[in-house]
Amino acid sequence: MQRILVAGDTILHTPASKLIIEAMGYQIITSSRLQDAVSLILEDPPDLLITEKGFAGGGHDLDLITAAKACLQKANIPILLALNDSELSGVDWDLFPVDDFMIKPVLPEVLLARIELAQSRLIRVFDNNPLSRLPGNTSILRAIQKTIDSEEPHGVCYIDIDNFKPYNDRYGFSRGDEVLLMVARLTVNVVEENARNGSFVGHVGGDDFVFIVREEHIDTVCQRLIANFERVKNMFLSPEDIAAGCFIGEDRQGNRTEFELLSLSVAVVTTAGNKYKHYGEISATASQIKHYTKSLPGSNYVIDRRNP
Amino acid sequence: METDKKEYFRKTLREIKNLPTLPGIVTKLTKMAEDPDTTTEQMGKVISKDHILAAKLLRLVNSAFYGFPQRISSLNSAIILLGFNVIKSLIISASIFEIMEDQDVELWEHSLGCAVVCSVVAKRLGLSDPEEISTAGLIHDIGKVAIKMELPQEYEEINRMVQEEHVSRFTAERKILGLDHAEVGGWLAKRWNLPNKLIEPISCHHDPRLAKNEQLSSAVVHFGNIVIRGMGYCHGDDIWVPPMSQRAYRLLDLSAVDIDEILDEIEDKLWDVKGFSLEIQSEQNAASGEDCPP
Amino acid sequence: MQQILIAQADEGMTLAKDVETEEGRVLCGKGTTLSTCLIDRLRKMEVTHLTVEGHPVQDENEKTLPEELQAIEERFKRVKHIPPLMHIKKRLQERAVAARKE
Repeated sequence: MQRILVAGDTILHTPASKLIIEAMGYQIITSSRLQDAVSLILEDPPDLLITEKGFAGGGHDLDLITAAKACLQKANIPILLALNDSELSGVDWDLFPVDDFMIKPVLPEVLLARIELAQSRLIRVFDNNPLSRLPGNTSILRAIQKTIDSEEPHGVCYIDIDNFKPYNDRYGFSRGDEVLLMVARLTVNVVEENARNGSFVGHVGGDDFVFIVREEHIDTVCQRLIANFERVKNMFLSPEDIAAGCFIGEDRQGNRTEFELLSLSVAVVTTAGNKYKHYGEISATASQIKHYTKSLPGSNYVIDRRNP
Repeated sequence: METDKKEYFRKTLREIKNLPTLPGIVTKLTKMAEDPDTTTEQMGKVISKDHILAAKLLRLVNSAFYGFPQRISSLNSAIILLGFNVIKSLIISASIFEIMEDQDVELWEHSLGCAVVCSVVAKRLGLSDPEEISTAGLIHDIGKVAIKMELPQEYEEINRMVQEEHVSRFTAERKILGLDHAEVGGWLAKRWNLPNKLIEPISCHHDPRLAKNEQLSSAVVHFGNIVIRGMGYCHGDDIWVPPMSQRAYRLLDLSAVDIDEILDEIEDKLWDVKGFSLEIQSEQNAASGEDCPP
Repeated sequence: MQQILIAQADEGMTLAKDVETEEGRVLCGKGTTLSTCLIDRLRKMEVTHLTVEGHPVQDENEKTLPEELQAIEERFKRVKHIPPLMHIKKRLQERAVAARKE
């Protein structure tokens, strides 16, 4: 349940405003006094704060906002500011670190839209992988759950770059990052060009990526992704390693080992037939298939077609 | 004075951001980009026939923003990595450019022909990266386009000198500018952050002895340029086949039989070039409202 | 016979040589008369050129054989001292002759 703190009297200026937002599943807490609002923020922080200019009356506008920002665990609480258009030009946004503003009187639809946009933006901005800018773990889990709930058959595909650690050791992290970017781009492009509807691409972190496509596209996307990877990968390897067909590195025990050159392993879990209820179950199945897929030489994709 | 003039030219050429391409190609690609059924592969096929767009793509994919500095030397890889939406935006941006008055179809055919020869030779030699060498062959003369665009007067003087004094373009360039298109091409490639695998074959395609790391690739592009000119695909009034470096030729190690078979293959593949050229020119004419030539 | 681009092919022309795919599979045999439908199908299969009987396509820019041989000679004028290039020149001239054989 998303909790919204509305600090100010003039924001929800019709009864309809409150109703519309509550109907969307949000819980609204109102406050007209600064002290109450600040207490709430400190002791029981909401998920989103809406306030108005001049809330605290005479020079205390910022107190509430500062309090919200100072609350570390939820320093990212989105803050929306309602104000009159006559007040607009006087605002120094550096002093008012809000995420969005609305002109009073605020129509209920507008209020709702701003709330939803703020939430969406929050997830986008803070959940994205810093290297690839792709959605991170929170978004991925959400997307998987959404796929399960939709009851339409999809493939949840987990990409793993084989021998990535030895590659990093040998070529350095900078080159390793380039490979990650390369895989990110390839995945996005192949999914977008072959299976855009109902798809999703995310970057868990490191060399783990997840993408979701509708079931009928699984084979095409996996095959094209692997084909493209194979075409491009030589540019990220030295001529000597390409000629040798492998590179020498150390395994976890420190023993000299031969590692195959870069390859991709894709483990695919299908959601058809209502097998799964929760994203955790999908991750678990994926782990099993991943293990098997990685044991195969070269780049491969394996689809879990077992019935539980 | 000479040094100043050269420096001035260098500076002007260094500032180049964009080069114009054949309007026919842009028209065709724009149509393709707007058709929802077009695939990236299809667009890639057309782009791989245009030396300017190829250079643009390579430059884009090697720029800091994408995160693969000086890494991508193959056009096909650039296409795969950039993806449909980026390419579409690129095409749209290309069509905004001032289209040059007289379309340089000759240079375009020469560049594409050179790419074909390089591809055939590289595959024949069993090299591990024929596509990258073909890419180098495709864009080896971008220096010429730069000179034409940034120094139009000097470009005309060069043309005139070639025509009247029957010297090679290379010679005329060095006389009038104090530099040549291979050198300029090399600068552009470097400035655009292209990998060394492309820079050297471009800057050394007239004198492959200058190549340090990419001797074999440079030799292939050098040879490719010579052969395609021998087959009649030259540029402007400089019709003479330039001398071939002995060292480069020895590096290629081609027998008489190799040459015969290479010529066979090239001739076959050049039909594709001819056909495409006809198609592009009729696109151009259609776009400008004229009737197709018979 | 004449080698022409698929774009230049027209109804009524007769194939002087088999039309093959890159792998060598014969799509259309020598002696076949071309129809619009057939030409269209070949184009869709990415055939780029064919060899037809006679000399149906008039190309204003096309040179006569002596002109073409002379042009090749002229092109290689400045590299007479380089044997491999002279070899290539000879081969190109031989091919020009072979292509004109009716």
